[in-house]
Amino acid sequence: MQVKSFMFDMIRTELEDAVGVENVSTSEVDRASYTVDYFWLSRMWQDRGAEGPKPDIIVRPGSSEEVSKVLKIANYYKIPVHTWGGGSGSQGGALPMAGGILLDMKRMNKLISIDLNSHSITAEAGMIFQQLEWYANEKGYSCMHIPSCLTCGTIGGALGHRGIGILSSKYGKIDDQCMSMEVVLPNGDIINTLPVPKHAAGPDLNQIFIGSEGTLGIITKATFRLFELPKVMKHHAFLFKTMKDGLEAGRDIMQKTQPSIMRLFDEAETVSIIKKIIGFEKRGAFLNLSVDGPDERLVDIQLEIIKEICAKYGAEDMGSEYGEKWYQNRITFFYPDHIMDIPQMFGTMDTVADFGHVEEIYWAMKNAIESNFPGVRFIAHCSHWYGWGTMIYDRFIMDNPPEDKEEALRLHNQIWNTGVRAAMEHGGVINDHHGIGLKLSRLMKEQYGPAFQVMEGLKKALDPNGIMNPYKLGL
Amino acid sequence: MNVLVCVKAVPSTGSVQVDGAFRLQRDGAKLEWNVSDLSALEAALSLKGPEGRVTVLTMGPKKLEEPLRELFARGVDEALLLTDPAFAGADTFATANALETAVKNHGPFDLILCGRRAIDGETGQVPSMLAAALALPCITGAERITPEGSGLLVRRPVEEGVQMLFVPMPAVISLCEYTYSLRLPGIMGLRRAKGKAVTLLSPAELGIDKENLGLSGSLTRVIQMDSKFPGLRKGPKTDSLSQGIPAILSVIKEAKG
Amino acid sequence: MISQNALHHAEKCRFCFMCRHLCPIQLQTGKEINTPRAKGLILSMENKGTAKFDRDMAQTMYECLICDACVNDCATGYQPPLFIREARTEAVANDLAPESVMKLLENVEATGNIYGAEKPSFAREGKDVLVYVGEVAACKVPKMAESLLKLLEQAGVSAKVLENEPGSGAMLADLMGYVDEVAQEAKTLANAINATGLKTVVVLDSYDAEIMKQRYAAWGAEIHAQVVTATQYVSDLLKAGKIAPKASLAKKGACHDDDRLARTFYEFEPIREMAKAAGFELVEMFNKERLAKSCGSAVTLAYMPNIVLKVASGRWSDLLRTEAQAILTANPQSYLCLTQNVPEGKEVVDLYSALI
Repeated sequence: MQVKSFMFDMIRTELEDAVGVENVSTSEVDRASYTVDYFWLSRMWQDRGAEGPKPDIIVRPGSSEEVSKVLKIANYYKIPVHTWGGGSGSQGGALPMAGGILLDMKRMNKLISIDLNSHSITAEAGMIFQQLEWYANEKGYSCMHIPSCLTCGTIGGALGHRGIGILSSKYGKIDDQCMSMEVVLPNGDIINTLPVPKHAAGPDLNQIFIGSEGTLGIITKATFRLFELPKVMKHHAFLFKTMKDGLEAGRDIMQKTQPSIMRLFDEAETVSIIKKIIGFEKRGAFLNLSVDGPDERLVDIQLEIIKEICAKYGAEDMGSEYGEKWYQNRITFFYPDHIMDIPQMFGTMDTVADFGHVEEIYWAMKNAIESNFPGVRFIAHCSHWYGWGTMIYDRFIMDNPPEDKEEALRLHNQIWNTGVRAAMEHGGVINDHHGIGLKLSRLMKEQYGPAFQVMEGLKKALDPNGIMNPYKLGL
Repeated sequence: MNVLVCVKAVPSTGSVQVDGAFRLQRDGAKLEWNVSDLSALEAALSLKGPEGRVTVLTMGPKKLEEPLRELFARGVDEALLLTDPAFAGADTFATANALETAVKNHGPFDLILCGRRAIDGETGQVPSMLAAALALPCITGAERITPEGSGLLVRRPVEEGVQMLFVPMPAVISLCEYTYSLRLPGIMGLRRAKGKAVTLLSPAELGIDKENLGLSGSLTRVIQMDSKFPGLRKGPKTDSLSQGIPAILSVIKEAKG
Repeated sequence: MISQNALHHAEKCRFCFMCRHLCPIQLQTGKEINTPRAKGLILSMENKGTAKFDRDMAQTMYECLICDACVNDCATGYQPPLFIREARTEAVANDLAPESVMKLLENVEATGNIYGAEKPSFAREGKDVLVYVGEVAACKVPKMAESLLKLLEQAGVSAKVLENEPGSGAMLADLMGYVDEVAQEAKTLANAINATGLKTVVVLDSYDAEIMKQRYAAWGAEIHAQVVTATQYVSDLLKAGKIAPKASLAKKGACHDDDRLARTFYEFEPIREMAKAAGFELVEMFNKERLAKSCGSAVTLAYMPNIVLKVASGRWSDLLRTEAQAILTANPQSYLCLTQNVPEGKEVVDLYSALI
């Protein structure tokens, strides 16, 4: 039900005054368009013909000053504020669970500057990341943040969820790439983090707001590093007998060389997804990687070393063809009919751990899920590597989930609890790059233990009225 | 002219999934009207004349109600849907029997048109079986129908050429696909269609015994279905027409030896 | 009453976020509802009974240029314009279409074109080809039509133009979807073209060429002559040496690939050949060819001028990041949209006039 009252219209006119009449909406279709993001539960809810979480009023700010005005109004009336960028998050982070105001950031999509001296680019946070990348490409540069949601999510979305791109093993995550930000605090103050990220002037404020999922403030502008577009990129693939061999080889590769892409698939994925998309027909653990650089010599020498490492772990050298095929198809995986969809139930657990724990976590999660939930499959690949460990892109899939929506919701959450707890018990961290959102909010205290009071303290200090994206991130 | 058109909803070829045993999975498939039935429908709409009526008849799940309503917007006057679990699993014999009963209940019709065969089963038997059950003359695989005196002149392609056949009415004629292109719905048609409802018919309303319907009324059984997995696509891929066409030509030439 | 086929496309698009970055209206309005996904989602909701097809829903279905940027992006082949067009049919059939749209439909009914004015005639006799001018060029950009005809004359091509040239149906199809009324208009035009007995129709406006080449046959409105875009035809004349290239202008220009040349015909070379022959030094906008951002269409400019002005500015901003002084087009609809708000120091060049 849409709230309609004297007071509602009083507040509405205040918001209209802040951002312009044409940028405020309460129409049913507008409200309906924010009820579903990429979260499986919101999709299932819609698919079963149920009404999703609707905001009461949509506000589309055009500048940081307008965001500030809106937050001042919201704080005065204690109205919840949900920030929405591309809406393509998989964790339910943008869903307007508490109603109130939905701040659609996409009007704030202007390029502010490109500094070719410092190799940096600055833009408003409502810009779809692909646009930013195109602006960089136009000048011969790249942000080297190329996630599968490059065309879906906004700059604010990538920062808000501490996202990652496929080139991360060399170029880092969004938190490595972001130099500074402008943030509007819940009280309406517009602040800037320090101009550069590496300093000894206390903790880095960037790292407080990156990953905060709209619970501590609203990121309105950001500056990113620019990289020269690599002149050479070579792809290669290997087949390991076991996941264990692949993980050990991956660790050594990360120690000795610098691939930009490296993806290791367990046998269940090798014989299903990899076969379907690139026609690879063998059993084992498939690994594809890419090395790029400004000069072929630099790339070739790294590939030589990589081949030696893989040979040491008994891998079969599959040549360049499959690695190239994977690279060509990297986006195709995400279009309808290529990716998992309703009626299947599925979820990406996305666990991160150090090399000492990762294999143990993989088996613990696989066993916990497959033994507790008949009819549920567990498949995984490691797609982002660090010098100290890797993430497991572990997915569960159930082909025939319950018809009843409440039953499906409960089962979905039970599977998540079981999988994520198995990961945490064996030394894993709840999430690598999708974020927490609504999906994992309830498990944050378990993950952090008493350390969570630091986050709660920040929340209380910055958002005493608790209006910012309620029910998310455990806050 | 009072024309009846029998139509069938078939799974859209692009949306059919094949399971591990190479069986078609119809459940999730998108349904569409069989392509030659659309020719039959357009033939009916163009033949009926100003005083005439076009009725469509189909058998299938209740969800066909909406697609049938779309046909009102294209000029169909009445739509009959035989729907009941008892109709499920019918072979061509049981289908023809069910259609015959509906025709007798809702007729008489001057002309009954069908598509020549459905792209899912590809039997092409129902039109002739229906004609036999109704004791009407039947012409299959027609491509053009023209009124001629008290009957119809029917052009029918055969391997050696074209037959021109005369048939008195009432008659059953099946049409080849792509012979008449079905008209689009018009705005006025869509407005008219709003007030119209599909007539749902159950075995009880038709007065048929369930024994004679569906699987139990069928003379044939499908024991097994096999298909050969075509394998993964191989070969070079190009976006450029100027490279692609010569590449295809050379493959064809090679294959010809 | 959305068809099952259109609904299938809507259901597939409802949870997919892949193409939103390309939607020119989304980029300008920043509204979630102006993404192909959201339009698919609300139609799916309507089908499931959780949303109502009301005036607001109808309005959002018209906030789309049908520029096909989303279609071009889809790796699977789903087509948001398919369900968007059908939703427009639904809107018109239920009297829910925006007033500005209904006004254009009334204009078509009264005068045969969306402008509600008598369409200026370019009628002439000729024996080589038939030129189809189209209503946008005739009513709004007559100089482009005159220049094309003059250019053909200079090249020794005897061009015929129909007396009372019928509409192509392209405008109606954008306003109310592919309905019988559009097919009837198509038949009228196809009959008129066929009656000339000429073997080639040179179509000035690629939006008209699209509907003629892609749709007419399926509606039983076959054109017996070969339909060619005027850009292709003129570029062939250039290659054959029938049109003399102009001297260098010492001026940089960037070609705008209009929606249909970019994403229906994949025709990129001819306008560039024309630009070079007109004396321009060619530079390229970053988003070009299949990825060229739409600058709006004549029909959308007529029913939602405020939004289309922003869309045209979006295309201008692409040009402003190049060294080009001029944006070059051979499409009357692009010309019309781009001339609405020309930035200081820049110009829109009609390539036919530039070649004379």
